Amino acid sequence: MVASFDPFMLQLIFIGALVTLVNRLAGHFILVRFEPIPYRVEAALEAVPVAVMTTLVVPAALNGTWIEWVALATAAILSTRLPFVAAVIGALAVLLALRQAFG
Amino acid sequence: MTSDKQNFRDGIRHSLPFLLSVWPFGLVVGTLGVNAGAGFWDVVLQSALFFAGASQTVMWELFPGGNPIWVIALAIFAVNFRLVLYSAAIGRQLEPLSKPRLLSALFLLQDVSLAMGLKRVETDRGLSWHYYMGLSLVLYVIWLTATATGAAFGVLITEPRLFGLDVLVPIYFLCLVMGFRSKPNAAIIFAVSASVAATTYLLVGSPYHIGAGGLCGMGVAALLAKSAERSGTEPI
Repeated sequence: MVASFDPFMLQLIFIGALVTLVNRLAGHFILVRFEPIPYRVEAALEAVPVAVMTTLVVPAALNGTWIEWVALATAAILSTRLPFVAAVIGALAVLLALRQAFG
Repeated sequence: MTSDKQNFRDGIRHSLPFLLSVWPFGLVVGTLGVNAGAGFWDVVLQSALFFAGASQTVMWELFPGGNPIWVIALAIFAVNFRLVLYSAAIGRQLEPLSKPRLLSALFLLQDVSLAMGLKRVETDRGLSWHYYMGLSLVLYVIWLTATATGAAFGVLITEPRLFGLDVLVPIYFLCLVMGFRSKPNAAIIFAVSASVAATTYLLVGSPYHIGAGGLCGMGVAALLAKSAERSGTEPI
């Protein structure tokens, strides 16, 4: 737990933080310049959670074996019937059980 | 009308299911930092200012390699590009807000706040700044605590596969996506986004699959959009 005063490290942290903040602000502040929002842009923005978060699942599916595929499919099916946490825990349980048995 | 206090409490309550994934992910990122040669306070500072786990991971992966700052900064931008889309999607749902409230909300924006915030828009309580901040502040505090713990003690998880940590975060994202399945054209958007992301991931690599898949999914949504909804509300 020694405090380090590596100037490169601090520079990197501040520049990375600035870049991240620009990402967080840019979308909204660019968009408000184009009001009123055309209906097609409206639809594209409404699609953001599905369109973007789906891509975050893709590497796990591509790098996985049938065990990971079954776990992801379980998550998808359970989340249509169960509360969110129950679906996550159910899928995790399936993953761990299959890995224990066949992994 | 729901009070600010009640909204804030709802936000806190709705953040709790995500601690199961935020906590171990934070431990791992904190450990990665000290293993890459960072000090404890470097890790804490990074978490406090970034609050974006994937880009923090990328920074610690690139840091020991002697890469120039601009290369690492570009990688951070690419990994966090999805935040540009998130910001556009949720900012106008939070407005109208005072500048300090808007900036504080956008500073804390990440995947969970986007998904839960947009779900809240559809409820009769609606999305308020207090709800959003209740949700996001818990995640922020837990993220700081988890990365600091990882940096201080290191993670003893030598086999993350044994605990399913490698697939836990994707499971969360998939369940979040499924929460939006009743949105217009959700299945087509999902299919386009997944196939473009998979192709890009295999041909170009990470993190470009996120931007490519995300933008193509949004493009399909734009193409399929009907103005009927809008004109339908007008008198004929």
